[in-house]
Amino acid sequence: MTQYTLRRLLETIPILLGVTLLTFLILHLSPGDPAVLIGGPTASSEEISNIRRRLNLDRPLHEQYLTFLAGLTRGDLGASIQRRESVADMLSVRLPNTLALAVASMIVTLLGVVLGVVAATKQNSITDFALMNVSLVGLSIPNFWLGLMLIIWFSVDLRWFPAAGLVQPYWSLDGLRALTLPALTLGTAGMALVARLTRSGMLEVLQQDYVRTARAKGLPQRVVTYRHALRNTLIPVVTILGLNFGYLLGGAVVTETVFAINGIGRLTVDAILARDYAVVQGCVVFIATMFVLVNLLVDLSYALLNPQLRYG
Amino acid sequence: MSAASPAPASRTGPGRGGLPKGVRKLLRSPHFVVGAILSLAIVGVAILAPWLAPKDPYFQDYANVLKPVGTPGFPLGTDQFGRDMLSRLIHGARISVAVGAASVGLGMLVGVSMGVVAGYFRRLDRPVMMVVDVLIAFPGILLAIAIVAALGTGLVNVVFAVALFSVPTFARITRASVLNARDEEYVSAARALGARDPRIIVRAILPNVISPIVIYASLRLATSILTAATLSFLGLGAQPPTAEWGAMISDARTYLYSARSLSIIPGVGIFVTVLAFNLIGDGLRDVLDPRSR
Repeated sequence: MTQYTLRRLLETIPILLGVTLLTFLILHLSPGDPAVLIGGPTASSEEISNIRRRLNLDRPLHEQYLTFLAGLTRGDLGASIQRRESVADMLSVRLPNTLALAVASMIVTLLGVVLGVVAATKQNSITDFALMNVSLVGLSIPNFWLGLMLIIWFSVDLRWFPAAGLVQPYWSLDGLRALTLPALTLGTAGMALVARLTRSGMLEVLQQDYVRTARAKGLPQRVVTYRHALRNTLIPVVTILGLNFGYLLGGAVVTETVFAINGIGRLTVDAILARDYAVVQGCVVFIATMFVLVNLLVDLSYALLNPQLRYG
Repeated sequence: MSAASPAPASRTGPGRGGLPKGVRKLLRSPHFVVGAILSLAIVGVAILAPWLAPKDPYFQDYANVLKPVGTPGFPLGTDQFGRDMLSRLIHGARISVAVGAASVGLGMLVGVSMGVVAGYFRRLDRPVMMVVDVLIAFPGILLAIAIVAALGTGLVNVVFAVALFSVPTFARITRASVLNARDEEYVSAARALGARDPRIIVRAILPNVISPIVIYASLRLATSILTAATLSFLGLGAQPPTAEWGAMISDARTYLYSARSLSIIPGVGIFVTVLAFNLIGDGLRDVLDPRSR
């Protein structure tokens, strides 16, 4: 296991370097001069060259990248061009909101396991048909639109939940009420996907010899389903759930915008619209790095559960 | 699906009813049939939009601002500028389908090229797949957002961004299929006859690996339409006054309390379109992977 862990860690390094390089290149090779943008239309050429010097934009691209990389190793993601504030500080202030949203959405996603098990155990019944069609609807609804519809019904009409923002502490009644609609918005597609995966995984496992043996031994159907079949279905589902956590971080961009949540996703969109490239760069690298690290953890935990992978 | 190798022609050849067996199976799948009918209708509306739309989708009629659904002359009402919602919905189909198809086409072109290079030329496999792994390391629409951030907002840039979002999966599927096909006898035979690599790839390998790629492309259309609409909703895609569904929902947020139909109508447009292509995908999956039925 140690060897496997080391190998996976080593494989992650070039991916992380690639992520930083690609993000850096995308934003630095884009058309338009950031110095002109910052200086504004009235800035003189001297002012623009001063800005360029201050932000190291006058240095060769590879030097700029290495400086950026050296900063990253110290946790320095640069400074906002617009607000003159450290990007790392901006991210750390907003991280709790984004994480709270991701965790709450993960709980919504987990409901998919229950729905998948119900559908598989009642294969080809009306319940199965209804659940699978509802999950198809869940996968097809644009989440930003779902968020707006939830606001219309549950905030505007029924006044059950607030339409914007999060409340701390998140686990208080008000905190949970504020989290409900954004979590449903962000977690619905994942729940639908997990329901479908659990169902198909469960159906496959239910056809295995050991399940037939368990039935032949005279074990009750409930024991066969939950103790024998579900456990083996869950290994790939747990992997998908882990990967989904990263996608929740990416999806937060949309949900935070719809519900006016002060998180990293909304910061990214606001920074793009304000053309604050340093913040965009910091946000993209931060989210992608978290995604890569969560993937790594999922892989390692999967290897722990499935010895075939470690020694394969 | 990535490991699916193309079936030899005889297995999918015409059956007793005249239609290939695979097609007959597809036509028995209710999901596929409903999805295909809906998709054809949406594509039809997209193509015929200028003739189907009752009014100019950009004409601002200030005498008829924010008319509700069912108003005579405006079946789906009007927006805050008095523009006819039905005409904007119809033209929105045109933009969504065009952006979705263009981005899937571009993503397929780049992804398949990368997959062929990685799968066929062993020395290039690692470097190409490294690029693919880096592209996959950006969760969800984050990479598309970064591209739009760099290139600027607008529909053309959205096509590039959404295409890049599709590239890694096309590359992986193609590579897996090419790896299977590379050592087949017909490829060795072509090589023995003196055919050069480009000819072998185009004439022997691609025709035999194209079916999983085309199937994935049809599935990807739904995701691409959704991603493009999301970018426009965030203000990074189509800009006002373009009649794009995501941008229309974004505009309508201001009127969420007073004129909710402005948000509901374009949302239904996106939902039905994505559902239609997902239903086709579901039907294809039912036929290709009968265990999940």
